[in-house]
Amino acid sequence: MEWRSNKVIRWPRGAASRDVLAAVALKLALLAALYVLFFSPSHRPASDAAATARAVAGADFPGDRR
Amino acid sequence: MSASHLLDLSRLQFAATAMFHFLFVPLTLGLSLLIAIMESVYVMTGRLIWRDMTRFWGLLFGINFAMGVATGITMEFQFGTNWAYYSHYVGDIFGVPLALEGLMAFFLEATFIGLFFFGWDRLSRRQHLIVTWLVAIGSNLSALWILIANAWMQNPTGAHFNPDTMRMELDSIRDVIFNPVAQSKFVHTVSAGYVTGAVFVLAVSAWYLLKGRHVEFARRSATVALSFGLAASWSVVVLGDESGYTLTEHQKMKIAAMESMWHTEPAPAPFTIFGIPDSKMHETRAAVRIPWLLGLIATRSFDTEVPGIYELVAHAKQQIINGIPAYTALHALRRDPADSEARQALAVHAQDLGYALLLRKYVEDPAAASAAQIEQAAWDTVPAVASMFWSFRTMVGLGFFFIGLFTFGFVLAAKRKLSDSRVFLRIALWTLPLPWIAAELGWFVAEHGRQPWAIEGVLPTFLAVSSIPAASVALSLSGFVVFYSVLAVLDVFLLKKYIKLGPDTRGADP
Repeated sequence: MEWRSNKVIRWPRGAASRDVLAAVALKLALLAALYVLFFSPSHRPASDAAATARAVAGADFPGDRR
Repeated sequence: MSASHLLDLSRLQFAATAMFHFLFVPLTLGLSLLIAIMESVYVMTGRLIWRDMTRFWGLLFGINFAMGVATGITMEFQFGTNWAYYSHYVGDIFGVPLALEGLMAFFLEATFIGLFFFGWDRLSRRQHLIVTWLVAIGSNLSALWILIANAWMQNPTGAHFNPDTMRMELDSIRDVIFNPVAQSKFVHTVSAGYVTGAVFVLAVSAWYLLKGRHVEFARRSATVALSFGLAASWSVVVLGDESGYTLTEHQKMKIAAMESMWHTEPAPAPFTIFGIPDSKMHETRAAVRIPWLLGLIATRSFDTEVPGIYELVAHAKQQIINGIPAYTALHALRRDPADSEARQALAVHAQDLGYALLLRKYVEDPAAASAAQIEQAAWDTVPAVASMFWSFRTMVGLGFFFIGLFTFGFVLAAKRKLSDSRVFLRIALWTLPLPWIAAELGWFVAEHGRQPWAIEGVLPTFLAVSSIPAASVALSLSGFVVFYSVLAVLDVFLLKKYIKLGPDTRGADP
């Protein structure tokens, strides 16, 4: 059977691009806000060998204070 | 708020973001391949309906991709902030596949998605088809690298612990990439994505057919979805079986919990098709069992036992005891890196160090743990049995439902009765959310079933969490709830808008 459209619709492809771009822009703005508010480097604890040793293995190792 | 609140909130935040991210992923995987198939038919036949199908489903793919992309980056935010010790301890290994995913797969996918949308009038048919296939390959490669990273958490191979740097360090990238858990997880996950894509195309097409809109377009789209979905639904069950088989080798406790199997049964073990797991009494009430089935599925033999929870707890207890000298040696080495005796002791017992660390939930120094504390820590290796048992069975039940749905629909399509069967079309429409539910349950089984480990046998989850205020995790969790709610509303709004609008038929065949 041949493909026949029963109705020709003006399909706004340009509008789709605008919708998607606006949604992506909003998403990136929200992501940036989340990063700045909660996850930027100032919010991160130190995670070097000494800090990890204290957190994982417990005691405050004299060697780690060097 | 206490340390347990901090751990629970950090886990909840990670689980919520991962599960939300995975709402987008399976549809991207499935739709990318479906549109590549549709465009291949267009290039081979030159019939415009196939181009219009590629464009329409491609637009919905594009909306899903645009809304989903970067929702996974929030998990990487959390690695540094909420899971800093995890990141330090295993970042050298875990970071490799994540970086490869970003460099290799994501950029391949993102670049060619741009060409897919804006290249229709600039590329030849064959060039555009190559672009579309590269989008599909890029999507699948993204999944491969992420699943390699995840599989390493389930089966940490190709690495050793360095007490001087307090890191797991890479011995063999080959072992990490060809980790058997990664291979089986990858094929199972992508085939679940293909089922999701097929159900999506089928459900939307069923809606058009029920409304009597775009009938020829919807009939062909549904036929493609049914054929593809039939193959994918069989694959997801067969490959899921393979994924389960690897658990028998690498995560015995997970399979025992999934089966609510408290004691080792004589081989071949029966499969409990129904039961009420009781984690307090350590029994499964009202169990209905099929003889031999679990043994055959899990071991593929008649004479290999599937160990039960009690036996595995006893084994874990022994590993905890064996790990205590490794913990003591680690302390000695941190004090004096030149202590060769301690280095040797650690090398001998390093494989059980993680088990000794489980004791830190109860005692500051595991070497001072009582027998009761060791027993408690051993029982901590058992994940939540009832939720594992039911999540797994629901996922498997849905898998078999998809096989039935696609088989029945395929027969209807072959007899050219698809458009007339309104009951089937309604069922197909209402099936829409089910592949997502199945996929999320699958991840629940995989990740909740790994507890209490962040890295199986290496690093307990409660030691991987950062020492930050629980209130700040609660606050960022609230931020995520707002962020993801906005995204969910936008995604549903855009998809509904363009589904209602329907395909662009201006270029249709005369």
